[in-house]
Amino acid sequence: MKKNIITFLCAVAIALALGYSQISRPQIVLGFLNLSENWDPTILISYGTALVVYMLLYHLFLSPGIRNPFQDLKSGKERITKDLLLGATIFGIGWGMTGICPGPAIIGLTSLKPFMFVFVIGMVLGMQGVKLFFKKG
Amino acid sequence: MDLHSLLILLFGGTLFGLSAFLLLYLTGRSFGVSGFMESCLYPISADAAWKGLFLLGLITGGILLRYVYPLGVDVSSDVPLWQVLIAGVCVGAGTRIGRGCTSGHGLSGFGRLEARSIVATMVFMLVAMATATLLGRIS
Repeated sequence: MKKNIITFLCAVAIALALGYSQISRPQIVLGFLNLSENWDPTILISYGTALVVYMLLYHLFLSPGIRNPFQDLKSGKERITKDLLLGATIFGIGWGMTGICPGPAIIGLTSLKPFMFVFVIGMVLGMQGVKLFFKKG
Repeated sequence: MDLHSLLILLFGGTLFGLSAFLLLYLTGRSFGVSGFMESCLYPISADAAWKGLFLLGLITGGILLRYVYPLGVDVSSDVPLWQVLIAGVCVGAGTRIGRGCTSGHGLSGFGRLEARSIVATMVFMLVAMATATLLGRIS
C-alpha cells in the first residue's frame, strides 16, 4: 500500500516535471530534434539536467562507485541485441515524426487535443501488435 | 533564452531526475512508461495494478499542470493526423521491440550507465533527429 502511494506521488511529480521541462510539449521537442538553422536547445538542457541528477543520485546512494559500461559489454552482461537496435530505430522514426514519446503522450491526453488521442491509439495498436504477434521473452 | 526560462528548465529537469530516482530508491520500481503501458494491455500482467496507478498519476499530474503551470500542457502539432497515427504505431511497436523508450532507456538505464540503454538512447536520438530534420526540410 505504502509503495503504491509513493508510486502514485512520483508519477504526479514526474508529470509536473515533464511540464516544467517542456518535454511534455511536442512542438518544443521537435525544435530540439530538428537540427535546422533555428535549433532549440531547450530539451537538451532539461533532459540533460534530469539525466545528471538521476545518474549522480543512483551512483551515490544505490550503487556506490561508477561502473564502466564497456566492461559489461565485454562480460556479456549487457547484450546489445538486434531487437534493441531495431526497436530503437522504429521508435526514433515515430518520435522524430511528431516529437511525442510515451510519457508526454499520456500527459498530453489531459489537453483533450485530438492528435494526442490519435497518437495514443496508434501506440496501443503498436504495443498490442508486438505483444500478440511477436513472442517476446 | 532568458534567465527565468533557464531556471524553470533546471527546476523541471532536477524534479524529473529526482522523482524517477525516488521511485527506484523507495519502491525498487524502475521508471519506464512504455513498459508500464504494455503491462496494462491484453493479456494483462500480474503487476499491471501499480503500473496502471503510475499512468493514472501521470494523468493527475497533467491535470494539475493546468493550474500550476499551464504552459506545460500547452501542446500543439501541425503534423497531419494520419502521420500522427503512423508515428504512434512506430512508437508503440518500437519501444516494445527495443524494451524501452525515452524514460526506460533514456533516463533510467542511461542514468544507471547500462550499456544497452546508452546504445538504444543514441540510436533513437540520432534516428529521431534525422527524421525530424529531413521532414522539416520537406515541409
